[in-house]
Amino acid sequence: MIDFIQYLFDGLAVGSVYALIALGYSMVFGVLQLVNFAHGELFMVGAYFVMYAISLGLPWPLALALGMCSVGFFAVIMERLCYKPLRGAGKLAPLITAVGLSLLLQNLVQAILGPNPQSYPASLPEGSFSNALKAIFPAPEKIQLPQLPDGLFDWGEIVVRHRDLLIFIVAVAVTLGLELFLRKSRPGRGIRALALQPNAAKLVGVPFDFTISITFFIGAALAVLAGLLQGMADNQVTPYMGISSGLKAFAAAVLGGIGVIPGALVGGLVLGIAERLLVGYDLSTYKDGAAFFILIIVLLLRPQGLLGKARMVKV
Amino acid sequence: MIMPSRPSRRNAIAALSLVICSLGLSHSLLARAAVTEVKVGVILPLTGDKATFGQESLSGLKLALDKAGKESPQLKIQVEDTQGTPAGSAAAVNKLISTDRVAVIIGEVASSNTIAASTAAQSAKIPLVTHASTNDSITLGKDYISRICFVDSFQGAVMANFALNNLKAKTAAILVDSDSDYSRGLRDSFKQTFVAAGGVIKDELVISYSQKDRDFKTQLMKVRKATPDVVFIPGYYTQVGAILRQAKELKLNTKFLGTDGWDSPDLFKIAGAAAAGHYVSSHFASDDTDPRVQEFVREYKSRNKENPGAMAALGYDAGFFMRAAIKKAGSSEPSKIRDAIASMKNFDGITGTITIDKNRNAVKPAVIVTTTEKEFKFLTRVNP
Amino acid sequence: MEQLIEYSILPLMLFGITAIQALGLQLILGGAGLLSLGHAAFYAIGGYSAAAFSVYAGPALGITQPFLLMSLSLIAGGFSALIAGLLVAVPCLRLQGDYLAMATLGFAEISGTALKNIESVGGTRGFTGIAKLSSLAWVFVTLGLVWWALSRFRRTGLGMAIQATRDDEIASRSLGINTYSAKLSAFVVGSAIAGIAGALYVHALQFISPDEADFSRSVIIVLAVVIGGMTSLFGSVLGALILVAVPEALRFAPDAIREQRMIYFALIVIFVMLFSPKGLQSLLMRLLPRRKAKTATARGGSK
Repeated sequence: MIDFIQYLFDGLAVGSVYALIALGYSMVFGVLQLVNFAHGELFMVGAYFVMYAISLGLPWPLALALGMCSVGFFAVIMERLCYKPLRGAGKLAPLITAVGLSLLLQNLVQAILGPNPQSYPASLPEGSFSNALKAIFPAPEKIQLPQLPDGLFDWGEIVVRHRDLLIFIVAVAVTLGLELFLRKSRPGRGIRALALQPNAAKLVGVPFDFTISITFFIGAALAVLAGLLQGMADNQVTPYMGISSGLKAFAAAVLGGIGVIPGALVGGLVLGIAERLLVGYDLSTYKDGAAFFILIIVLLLRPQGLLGKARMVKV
Repeated sequence: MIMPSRPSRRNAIAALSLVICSLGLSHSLLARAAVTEVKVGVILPLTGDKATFGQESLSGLKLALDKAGKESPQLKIQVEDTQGTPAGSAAAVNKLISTDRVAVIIGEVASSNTIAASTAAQSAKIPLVTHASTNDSITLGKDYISRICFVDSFQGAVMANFALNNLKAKTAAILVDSDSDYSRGLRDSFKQTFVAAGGVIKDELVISYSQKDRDFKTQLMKVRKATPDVVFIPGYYTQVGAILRQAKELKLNTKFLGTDGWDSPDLFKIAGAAAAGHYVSSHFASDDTDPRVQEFVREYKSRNKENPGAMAALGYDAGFFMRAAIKKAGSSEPSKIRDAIASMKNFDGITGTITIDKNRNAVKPAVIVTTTEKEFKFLTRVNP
Repeated sequence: MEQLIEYSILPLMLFGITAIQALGLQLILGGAGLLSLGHAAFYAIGGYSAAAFSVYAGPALGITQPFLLMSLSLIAGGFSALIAGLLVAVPCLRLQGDYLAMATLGFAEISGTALKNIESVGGTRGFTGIAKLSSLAWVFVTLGLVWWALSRFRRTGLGMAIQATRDDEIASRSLGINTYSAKLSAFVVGSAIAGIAGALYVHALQFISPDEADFSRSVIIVLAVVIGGMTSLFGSVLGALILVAVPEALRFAPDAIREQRMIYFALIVIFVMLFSPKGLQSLLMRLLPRRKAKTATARGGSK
């Protein structure tokens, strides 16, 4: 029993990261009925951006804000160029385009920054760009890198890392903040309206394109936050972290109820904890399949997810 | 939309002809290349999470070949990236054998990858020499497969004896990479030697992890609860670095023992301060006072701007070893090269004096190094 | 001349095998309009089953004659992929578009994990020691048969029902077509074909690992079929050609371009989806005026 509780705590951080990524999937699917396959790559790009920015000496809040804005805008542009023209072309076309985008981003990062894992302090590959940056920023040895708290709650039988709890609290706060935003703010309500009834929303004057752009922006920003947290926790980023965490996060979103904000948090945590349980009970070889196994079970038994509402598809 | 079949067939034939022509053109250009050199295939993990091993090996190999210069026999190397996976290794070997027509192959690094590559090499009767794969089963029953490094039954025993005799350890835990033949083989050989000499390793302290894992808290908690004298981690640096770091975070103050999979400069980057104070068996230490080693270190450093690790040294030795073997064979015939390799004795490499035994494995010493926060430091040499 | 042909054998075989796999996917994706992101899993399952047969079952039953062994292995591969396809399709085809894609992806990941845990076929290290039973003849004869069979299938009642379902599921149902069994048939047959391709592959490379079932492999074959043109059989084969021939041709190009080839590949896919959804084969068609006239009359204006 003690072990079980331990694994519950162990799963908090990894589940929270899934949750933050899942929020983006959930929101975009809510308004466009599109699974943005490239969302995991936004997480990866965000993680790289933040790691390099911090390694150059930028204080982490600034690095995070810059990352959120850059990747957020990138997501908006991506939507305008690649998804918008395909609205109305059926479900298959945007999905395939999303897959293509995902592949493109992975390989671009791999080609430019190298396929090997990067750790703090990360340095850019040799080139005129990195030389220009070296002129502006102080030498790497002089930089004091921020760390996640490394303390422990040592309750004898159960040990919880401070940083795991911190990441969990951040995820909960963000989820609550997002819910608040969607309920109280004007753009937020616009997003909800679009998700519920696109045609009616347009009729009452919700700016369609703008609202979609905001949705993508917010989703991307949250993914960047997740990237910062995971990058600092693991001290490692790779071009493939997007597919592995991204797909699991999608499973989490579906598990919790796609389109439902708290569902992403619940789904992420359940998935994170499930993985830790498997490792703990010596079934770690099944860990990666777990996410997908859960996904399939959920899709078959309760497609609307744990917190979702069953939807009638009108013909 | 229904497509009539006749134009499709015509298109198919056109497509096929195009492929054959383009392949043929490019390959006929190659066919006219000279015959005075020997074509050597090289399979290495140049990308992926063992990339530093492959890149270092290649740098060492290239240094050796450049040093040999225009002297005959000239080795013309064709390098293929295996991406550090068994599938990539099998594909790379197939390409080298059927398309490039190499006479002999050097590589890979990870034992699982070399095992995958060796089936194809063996059945095509092309000799394969691995410079770095230590798992015993690689050369078993395959007379075209050999190696110039020691085997894991030796390495595991070396570390077990070190733990028992030098560290006076009585209990141990093992963290094994369940995706790796290398790791599993070492687990077995360490356990065998340790337990036979009276050490204790409880079953539940043989704990698995996967190369895909990033968080090892659950595994480390099990170790923490049991407080063994030493923890043996025969894994690769990407995971080991994270394990060491997280162990320190959990205030797990025990001695960690490692094997040549740790030997990469990236270990220190990933683990940070947690890297210090452990013991690792390897093929080479760059602060070894032997003058030949120092010369190699100097030359390597001036070319590549960093200290060479074990993989670079092994790659270097592989280059000179292969030249010596081909010279001995006096021909570029694969079967003659195989025989020459199998009969090499007392080859003076910078990773030790290499003699190939009847199982086509190298009999040579191991080096034990300790770790500081930044690098490996030579401790002692263990002879077979 | 002999050397030329010998050099080209393996790449040609790989092209043929990939083409068979692509044709299987074409039936599912282009024919039925189902996005299967787990196609590589059926390929892998077929490969593993065929290898298990030729390595374990065949010798145990006393079958050593190569032609017989290969044929039976092919059947074993195709059949196990068919069963796997059935297991996935029956529950998942009730789901709509994106969910089906995710479910097939999930299945692929699970089968990869399962294969990693089966020690008798090598686990994570892969299955080695497989005999080289494939040959250029095997591959291209099989390709020819599959191509021919599929082109005839399109004109049967079931074949047309599948395409009707893809075009408009609701209208098809209202016409009395059993859309569920149409989709099911397409999925199951397509997966079986992938299994056959896998069986040929494993006996060519003499090795297979659980990585073959990976999501990324499935994605690549989907992209190849899309680029080539998912609406036609020729398009899928064209896609397979591009997938195999381009890296081969690039072997002689400078390293920089080689590393970037996936980037160009992805860019082409996006380009195709945005501007030419019927794929490159439709671009080719526009360049050949006489074919266009012929096909226009043959089709008589239908889609």
